[in-house]
Amino acid sequence: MNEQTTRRGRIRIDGLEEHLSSDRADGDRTDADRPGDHRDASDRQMAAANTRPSATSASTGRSTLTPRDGTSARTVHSRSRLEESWRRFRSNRTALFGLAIVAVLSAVAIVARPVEFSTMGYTITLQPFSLAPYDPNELSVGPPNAGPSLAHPFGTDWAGRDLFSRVLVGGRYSLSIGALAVALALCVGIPLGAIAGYVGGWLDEAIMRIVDMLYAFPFLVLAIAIVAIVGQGYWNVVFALVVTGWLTYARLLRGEVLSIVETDYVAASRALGTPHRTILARHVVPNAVAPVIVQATLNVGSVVTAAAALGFLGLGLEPGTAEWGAMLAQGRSALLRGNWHVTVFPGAAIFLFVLAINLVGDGLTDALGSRDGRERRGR
Amino acid sequence: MGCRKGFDERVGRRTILRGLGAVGTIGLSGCITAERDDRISESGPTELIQRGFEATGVDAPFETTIYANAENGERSRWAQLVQHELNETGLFDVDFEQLEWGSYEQLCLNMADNAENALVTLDISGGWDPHTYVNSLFHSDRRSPNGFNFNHYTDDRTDELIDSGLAESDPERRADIYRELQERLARQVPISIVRSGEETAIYRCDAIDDWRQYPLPGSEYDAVYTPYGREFLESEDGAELVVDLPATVSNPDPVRMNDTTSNMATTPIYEGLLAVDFEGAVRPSLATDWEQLDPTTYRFELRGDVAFHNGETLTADHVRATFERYAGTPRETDVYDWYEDTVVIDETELEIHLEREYGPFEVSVGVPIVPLAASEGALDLSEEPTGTGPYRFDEYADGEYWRLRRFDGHWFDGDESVPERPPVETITMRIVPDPASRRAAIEAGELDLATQISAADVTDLETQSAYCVERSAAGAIDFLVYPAYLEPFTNADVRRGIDRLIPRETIVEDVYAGVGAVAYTPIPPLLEEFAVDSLDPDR
Amino acid sequence: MSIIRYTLRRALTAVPVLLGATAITFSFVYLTPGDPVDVLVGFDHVDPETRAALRAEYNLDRPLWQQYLLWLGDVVTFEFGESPITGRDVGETVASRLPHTVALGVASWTLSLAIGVPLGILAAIKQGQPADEASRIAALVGIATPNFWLGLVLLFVFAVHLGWVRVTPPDAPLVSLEMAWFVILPTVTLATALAAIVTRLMRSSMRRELDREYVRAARARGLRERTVILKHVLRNASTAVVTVAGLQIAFLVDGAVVVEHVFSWPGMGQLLVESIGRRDVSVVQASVLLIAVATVAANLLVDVAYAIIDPRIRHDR
Repeated sequence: MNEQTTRRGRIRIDGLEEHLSSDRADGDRTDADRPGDHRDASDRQMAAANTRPSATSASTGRSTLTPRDGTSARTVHSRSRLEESWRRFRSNRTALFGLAIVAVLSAVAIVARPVEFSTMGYTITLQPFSLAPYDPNELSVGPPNAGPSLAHPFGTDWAGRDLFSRVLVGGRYSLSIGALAVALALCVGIPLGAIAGYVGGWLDEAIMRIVDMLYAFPFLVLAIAIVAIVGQGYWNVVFALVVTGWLTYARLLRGEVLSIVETDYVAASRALGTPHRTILARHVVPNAVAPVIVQATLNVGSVVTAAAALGFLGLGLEPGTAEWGAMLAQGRSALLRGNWHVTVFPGAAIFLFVLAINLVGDGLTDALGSRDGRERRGR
Repeated sequence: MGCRKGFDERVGRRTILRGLGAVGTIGLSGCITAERDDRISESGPTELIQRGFEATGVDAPFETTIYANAENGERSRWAQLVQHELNETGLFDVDFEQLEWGSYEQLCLNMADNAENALVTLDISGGWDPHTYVNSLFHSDRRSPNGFNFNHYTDDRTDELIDSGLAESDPERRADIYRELQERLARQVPISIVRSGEETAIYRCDAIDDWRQYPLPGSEYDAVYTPYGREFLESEDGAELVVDLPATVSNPDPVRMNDTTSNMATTPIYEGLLAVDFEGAVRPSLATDWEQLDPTTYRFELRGDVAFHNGETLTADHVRATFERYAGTPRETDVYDWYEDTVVIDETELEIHLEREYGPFEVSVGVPIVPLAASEGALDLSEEPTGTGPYRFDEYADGEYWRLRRFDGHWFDGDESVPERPPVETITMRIVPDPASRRAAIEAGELDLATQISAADVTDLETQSAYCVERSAAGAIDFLVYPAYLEPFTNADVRRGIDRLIPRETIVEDVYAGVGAVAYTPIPPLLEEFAVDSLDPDR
Repeated sequence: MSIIRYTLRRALTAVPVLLGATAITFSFVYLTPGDPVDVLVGFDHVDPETRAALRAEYNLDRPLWQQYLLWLGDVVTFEFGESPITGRDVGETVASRLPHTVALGVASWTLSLAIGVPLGILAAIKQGQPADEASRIAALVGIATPNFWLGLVLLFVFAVHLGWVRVTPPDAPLVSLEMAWFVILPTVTLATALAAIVTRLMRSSMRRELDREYVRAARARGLRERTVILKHVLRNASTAVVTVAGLQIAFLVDGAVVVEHVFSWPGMGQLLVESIGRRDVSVVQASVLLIAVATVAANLLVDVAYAIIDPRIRHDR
């Protein structure tokens, strides 16, 4: 069972070649017609498209591949690798800049309005600051559709709500949707991907088949269908984004796991009778997870954009919500009427955030090893 | 059926509620949160609600949710205003939720059965008869899903009044009945009427001289050339008119038509026995003459020289086949609500027997008369709508445009007000689903005329000299449905209190940019003899 | 193994994926509140018998799995039938929309490659120089711009404000000069993010190739830099781009859903959203099937392309 899995995985996975000698590759021909092998080509390309074109070159020019640094001793030196990565990340100025933007946006979202927690008549103020001059949901704090002014730096919307306050507070929704949706998708994708890659066989087959099926849908169409079923709202949008988001991670992690399972280290652990769970949790996943984390970071940006796209189609958060996408959607016809500020500021906020996330993602990619080309689809 | 003139409430039920899906940006004049004078002096609404809360044993704040559908930006906004107003009283804790249309439709249809704690916002368009507005909303036989009586309001006297209004044919007595009915409804407030709608058309003054807007949704483009309505669009002979459609044409077959868009696209194609003109008067169309022989029998005299687009000539058999074609189809009730059978006397004469005495018969009988080939199954009207109208179906590019061409064999010979043939040769209806794009298209000169522009855009463009706007009070009302099956909404004081809190002026002025009028009663001002002014007994 | 046999084998394996995808769609559409018969008769009080007859007419009275199997049976014979909602042939409806989306997709795809490939090469060659940084930033900006927002802004500036292009598609054949002119804005909108992805991908795979032994060897042999790049590096690096290009179908459909709405473009994206809205299961099903087939076929094509470029792949498996 594992034989088959690893053999299959080898075609698709970079970082594996250094563990394999060319004579074993020749041996693979014997099972060329095995049913079930087929998907690996598309898997491979998905992985390549989603993350790393290096995977592709692995399949096309295996013999010419350069070994990856650190791979031969990946399990042993994981801590020092982390430190090394952090050192590299720190020295990357654009990445730090991106991180700073994300930090500032998050901080602003938190201190935009006080955070209070009420229970049984008591109100506990967790965060007393209020950066936003107005309550974002208070109607008529200014004239409707007014352009930027001193009192309202970003102007006001149709109901006379202060856009500056709304954009500041809106970060709470957009950023938390991004973070939550990605985190939850990871919670689904990582275990499934790990199990698929490690256990292999029919389980692998079943999980990856489901991934394939869901991949056949365009993301927005799937999300529209889900929102149509479960309705609008914060958690429903998060749910839709998780359902469509975990695929990438599962696929990516499975590929990584396949390559790691092949290592002598894991083979040795198995031979020593270490429980599978321990091997998986201690050795396999921690070493396989780096590219998934990079991908996840980048996805925070695309998830925020996706939530905004849902909002644009009227299927995101409720229109009154101060979420960037929902605000943008409301400003659609305002743009034509000349009230450009209603769309420009929330749009700029999304833009800034996604840009910053991408800078961080780039930095992470560079820091976490030679996976220089990780790209992704629109997910 | 409603295809012609929206003779009844069934005109395009889908888009009835969906409205135009328009997104507009509208200002608030700042009076939402400001304490209004009348509120201070009166402070009635909150007291009413408190009284109702006490009577039902409900503690404030009462938690509930107000809903709107995502496709209709204006409705979402007024729902938010109502939400805000209710929360301001401190008596309610109202959430706002927006659903995709299909889910929203299901919520509305099943709210009473599922005892949903939900306030829903909707609109309905009716026809030229008052029955079309009150029957579906208030009659206990029309409790959802068999009608728009969403909160299953049941009141024997209301049913009685609706039924007797339907059976009565004397106009004055009818007016009395509908007045009493509306007074009763204003006391009981099963739902709150918020606004009566307006049909608007905006056009480029350089392309069109003068446009007359038909007041019922679905028949907008009839005004291009209507012998019965004494209206036509002047232009040089052979011109093309480019207008807008808000969605794709779903189904142009009269017995399967399920949205207003299909209605809009086909009114110039089809004609019925009778038609209702722009003022609401019944006019002959394919029938030249008609009389009521007894309460349930009408005799019709047909025009002799009417050709169908497919070459058939109109006979009494066509009329009978048309009516009978409705049996077992989705639009069955358009005809079978009153139809018993047709007796063909000769080629051009026939008698229609009704199942029961039917007040609005004359405005209901004008369903599109279709060729025999359609009844026999040789012609598929879904693919090729065919009638006797002044325009024939030319081509349809799915999702792109719907095109009609002048039908040269049309029966009308011309008179002093309408020429023999329509000057406009081609009507191209462009499908532009995005409201912002519709506005952009008319500004770019790609549309000569648009009837589906959002209210805010209409008033915005109205100020520019290049655009002319034609507005007419429409047979449409917006309303708020209470979950009257659920405490504290079972209490009429609560509903009355909320009714008086609804910021109607703000909704009309700011959400609809002054398009439409504040309304308190279900029969819109379009039906002058039946409409009544504010009836709130507490005021 | 012959390339034909390889292709066939790969094609066969797509079948379960397609079956699964359509089964998921089927259950999704039925899970969504709202019933096709309700759309047909709306809020009307229709005779219960008529309602039942309508349900039976469209097999809606049968259990879900039977409905699915019936549908499947029709599809196998390429018989998509008539939509209960529109009364028009489902196959024809989809066929009338498809060319628009394909045209938009091909245009965007071409444009993204035309921009992305040279930019990526430039960035790779000039690594660390201002040109590299500029292309990197351009790519990031492209990725960070939400396409629906970009579409609106382009429409507003170029169509409404400047009047250079039309707001709605012209009344012209799909393959015509006017149409080509119109399609520029939607194409740019769709291609922006795509071009950014291609740029980055091209740059990274170029870089990787440039670091390889054989390139160094070629340089050492004194070959001109240009020859090295054109002959060796580009060929190897482009495989990655081919991969991504082949996989952009889903990405394009995603974009199309939004972009087609803004530009009133009568394509598959609009059709899908519309049909979901009116619970027109037959059209939703046919569209999803088509998209799934296209996605799977693109994967297949890419695989076969690889197999031709590099026969080892075939033998490896």
